[in-house]
Amino acid sequence: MKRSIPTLVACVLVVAACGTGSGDAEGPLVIYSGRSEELVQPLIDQFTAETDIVVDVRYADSTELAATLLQEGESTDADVFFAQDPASLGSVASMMGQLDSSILDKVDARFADGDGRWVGTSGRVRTFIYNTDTANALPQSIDDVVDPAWSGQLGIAPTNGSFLAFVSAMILERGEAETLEWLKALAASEPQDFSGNSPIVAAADTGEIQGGLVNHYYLLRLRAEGGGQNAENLFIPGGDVGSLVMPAGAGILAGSDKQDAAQQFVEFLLSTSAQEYFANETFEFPLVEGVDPAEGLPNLDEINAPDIDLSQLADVLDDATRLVSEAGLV
Amino acid sequence: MTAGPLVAPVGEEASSRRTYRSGWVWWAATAVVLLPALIPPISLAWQVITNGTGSSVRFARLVELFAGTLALTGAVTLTALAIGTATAWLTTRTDLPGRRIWMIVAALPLVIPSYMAALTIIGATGPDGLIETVFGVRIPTPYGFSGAWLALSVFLAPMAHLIVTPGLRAIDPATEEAATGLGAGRLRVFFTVTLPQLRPALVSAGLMVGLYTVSDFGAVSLLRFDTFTRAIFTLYAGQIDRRPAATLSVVLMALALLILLIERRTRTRAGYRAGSTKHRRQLLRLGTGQRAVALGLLGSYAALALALPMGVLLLWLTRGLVAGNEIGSLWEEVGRSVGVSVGAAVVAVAASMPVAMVTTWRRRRYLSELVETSVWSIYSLPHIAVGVAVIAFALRFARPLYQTVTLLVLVYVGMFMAQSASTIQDSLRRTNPDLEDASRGLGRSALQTLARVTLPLTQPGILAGAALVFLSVMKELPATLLLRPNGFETLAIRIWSSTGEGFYTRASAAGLALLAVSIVPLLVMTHRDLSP
Amino acid sequence: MTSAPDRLTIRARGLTKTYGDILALNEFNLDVWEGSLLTLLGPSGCGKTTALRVIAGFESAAGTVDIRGRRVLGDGVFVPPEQRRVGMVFQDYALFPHMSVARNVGYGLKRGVDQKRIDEVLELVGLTGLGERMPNELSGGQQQRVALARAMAPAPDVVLLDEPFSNLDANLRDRVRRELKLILTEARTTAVLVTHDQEEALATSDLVAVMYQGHVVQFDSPAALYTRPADPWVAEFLGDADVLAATGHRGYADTMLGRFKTDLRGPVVVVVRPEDVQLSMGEAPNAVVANTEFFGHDQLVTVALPGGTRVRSRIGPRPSYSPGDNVRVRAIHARVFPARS
Repeated sequence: MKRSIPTLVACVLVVAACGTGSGDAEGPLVIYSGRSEELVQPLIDQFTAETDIVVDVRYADSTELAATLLQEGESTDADVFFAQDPASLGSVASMMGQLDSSILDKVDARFADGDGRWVGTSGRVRTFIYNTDTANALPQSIDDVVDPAWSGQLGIAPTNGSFLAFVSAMILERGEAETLEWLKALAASEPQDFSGNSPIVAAADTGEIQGGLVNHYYLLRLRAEGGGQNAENLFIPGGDVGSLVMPAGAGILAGSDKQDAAQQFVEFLLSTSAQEYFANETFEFPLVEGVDPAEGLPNLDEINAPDIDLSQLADVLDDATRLVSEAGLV
Repeated sequence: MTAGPLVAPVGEEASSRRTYRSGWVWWAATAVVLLPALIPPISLAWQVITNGTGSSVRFARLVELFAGTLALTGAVTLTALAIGTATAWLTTRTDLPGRRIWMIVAALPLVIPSYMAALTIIGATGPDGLIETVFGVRIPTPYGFSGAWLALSVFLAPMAHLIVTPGLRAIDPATEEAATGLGAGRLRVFFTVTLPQLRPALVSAGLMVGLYTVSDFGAVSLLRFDTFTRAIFTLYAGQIDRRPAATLSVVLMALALLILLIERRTRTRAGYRAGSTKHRRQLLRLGTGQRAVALGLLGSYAALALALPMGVLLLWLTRGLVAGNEIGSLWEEVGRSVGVSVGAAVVAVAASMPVAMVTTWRRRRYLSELVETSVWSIYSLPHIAVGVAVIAFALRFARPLYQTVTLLVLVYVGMFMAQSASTIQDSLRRTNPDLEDASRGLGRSALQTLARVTLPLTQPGILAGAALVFLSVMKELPATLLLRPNGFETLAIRIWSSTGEGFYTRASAAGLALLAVSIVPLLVMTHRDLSP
Repeated sequence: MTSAPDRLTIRARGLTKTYGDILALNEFNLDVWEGSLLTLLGPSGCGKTTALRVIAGFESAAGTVDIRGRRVLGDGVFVPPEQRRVGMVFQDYALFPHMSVARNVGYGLKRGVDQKRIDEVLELVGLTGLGERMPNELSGGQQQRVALARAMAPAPDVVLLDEPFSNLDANLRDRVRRELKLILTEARTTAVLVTHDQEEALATSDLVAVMYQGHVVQFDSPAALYTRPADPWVAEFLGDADVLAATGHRGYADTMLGRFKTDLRGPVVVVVRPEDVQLSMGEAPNAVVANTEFFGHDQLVTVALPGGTRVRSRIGPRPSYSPGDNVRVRAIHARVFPARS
């Protein structure tokens, strides 16, 4: 029996080792998705149904995946990075190859990487979610958010990729010093910590918090499930980063050995059916001509968005993280 | 992470196993098993020292985290000890009706992972919570310290219970009767005679609970209380620079090791000799009023620790199904969870055999103790930190293993091997070494003796160890989160990610599936504890 | 024996107790006089430890127990053990492992009487100067003395000892036994000692109560127990004895070993002790030597009577017999009891 134990062990290891497949061309298409499974898996399933390409997805936060990609380096198994915000995409831009012009042409230039390494797939706008019973005056600019009136009533997700992208944009707009001041004022109002945007919207709906910083579409999703009766989106009119428009986007890893399949996937994301999915199922803004946003949403050009070069977001992402930590928010 | 057989050893008897000339094989096997497990943490520490700590780790922040972690640990330890000692006392020392059932009930919450405990609290309280639905009273959800304290205390009490129970049994009842005969009233007997003799078990239980709290990830994350583990994950997930996460991981591992080494020192110093318990202990007879109180206490605990989680999960599930939410198929997750749990259990038991054997030998005691300390040190490392360390290590030195099931299973084995080693060790210590000599004297070789005598006698330990490891792997979250292959979701991951996305229906379905699968090994384990 | 109640330390009457279907005590009666050392003797399982524990108050039973005239059990009364002033020395000593010898000994004392009394008692048991040691640093014999000192320190009405010598090495037992008796006598302590070892019982005490199946069957001095056992069982339990069947007829019972006086009629049993059985060679042999065991100072010869009954004879070292020798066997003394139907 002594002999059989090592044999058993060896068998288990061999079987398990069969489960290791490091990037052979017959393996599945590996997507690192910073977008949540619930939002995106149906779309991916549709892609597989249409193209017969098997997909393996790793779901996690965009920032975490960006860090993982950088840590993994050239030998990464990932083929496509589908992120929630341009800052994460920008951090790994050096690992991604230039996209085909047929893909880049479909989307407005301000929603793609300056060097063509990633392309926006849907538009997401930062909003201020608020409980409709709140007595406070609604913020007209992002600075109104840190007004003492909201003290103890706010919710934020300080580790969320969108939040960090938002802070990065603020650094680009105002510089580090003023951004830090704003963050400290935010910390002083003792906001509640959430792990993501959905919980913030849910909390605002129940009145647990009175306001929060989220992306616009979470409320619409909640309403589709029957909730969200007591909350409302505010597109902050001030023209500052409070109503930042950030595309979610995708890029192809230069080291991938499934360039064809990867390209098919990115093209799929920009196809009419996918764009309509983004518009009607996830309530984001479509970026491709000929597809309208969902009912009740303004057109993208009607939003007073700040003018920021999204490609630069990645450069200040580390600073954004540091400032968020310095302000005591994490 | 449970520690059933972790009773304070009462004077190391029966370490009189002889070694045979083939003993070196076992030492070699032990080295093969242990050394790889020790490398990633050491490698991480080296990296932090050479690469620097990263810019966003402020000293003030470290102090904050320390304070928070220690405060929570202290509070949870005291509370869990109190609860666990009370349940142990009531089920072993009194004539409470249904004692044997209460003994199982008190241990059962071990199946419930800490993140599910947190979910229970979240789902029971607040608007539309279980309590509001049933009683019409809305209790605000206790996020932060109070919630984490509540969740961990209630669900770690079984661990204390399982360690204190044999400690209570080991006290010579004659000493308590002697004290009574000398005029001491019940209270005096308890404080001057019972409690001091219970101290080794209490200290052991306290340190184990403390160690677990320091390492806990699921509960503190969901209930939003900042301890080291939560901060590590925040940094890992929220920053491009991996160094701050690595730094905090190393600090946390050092803290955990410290607690473990303290626990081992206090254990070896204890060693009160348990007297012969020739006559059966007289059980404390409870009056009707006292009985009612005792049953009330035990019943409340069962309600809190067992009924409430089930209730919350069922509420969410039924609500969601009624609202038309889909659960989706959970079979793949079940298959993966069971698969890795079984795989890890089998490999862990095999890996534990040489470790357990060498630690019961009398020759080269210093080496044996080093082995034992190493195994428990690896066990004590918080899983989030282990995840960070192994990823860093694998990416640099073991690339083919990165993001594979193999690596995941090996990491599980390293993390939980101490559990199976401990139960096998127990079994080995209980077998009469003369049996092996008799077998050799009758002409059987070392191999045959092992196969026909030692292994069959060790079977209870093997089974218990496998059950423990199975259970631990089923529940495991942070290391799995970090190390899993792409697309590899276990039940634990499913619960975590569904909760994070607010999809409670699916989370509760997965939670119920997890509990259902976990019941089996737990029954195996408590069946062992029940036997006299 | 005088039975003036105020000199009676313990009076137990009619104690009866069952555990499940086992009758541990069956109408158990006992009188213990002040200053005496009484041994409760009986085979394992006869209930002697239970009797002790009932007297001490660790268990309850039907019946009554009075200690120094005060009722502690019975008629609706149950005084808990901590109020009974009964000292107990447990079989495994039950020393508090986490306390020093001095603290163990002083445990039962009220505050304020401490160090002087502790030293006194330690001196009494011969452990002066060992007050600061821990129990696990002492030998078995020393531990026993600590247990005794601890029980005696609060000057209880009676000290109960549960098989105090069973955990000691055989070569220690005699010495410890003598010392124990000395200590108890010197302190004029009333004591009850429980044992299954009949040699111990006979050598130690002034009075022995023999127990069988929860009941005291004979209560006497050691000599009386030995020479005048109340029934065949007692005779066989205390010392060696052989039993022969006979018939009582006209004032005598006839056996192969001789004729013995008795007033009993009908079936009887005749009990002889080996030291009362004599052997001679030459004259009319009536038995065959089956076995001899040589002990140096004496020997035990087993002979077989016709019919198969075996009888033992204890004689000096000479002459030596061999199996198969024909001998004449007779008894110079025997006790006759009615045969049980």
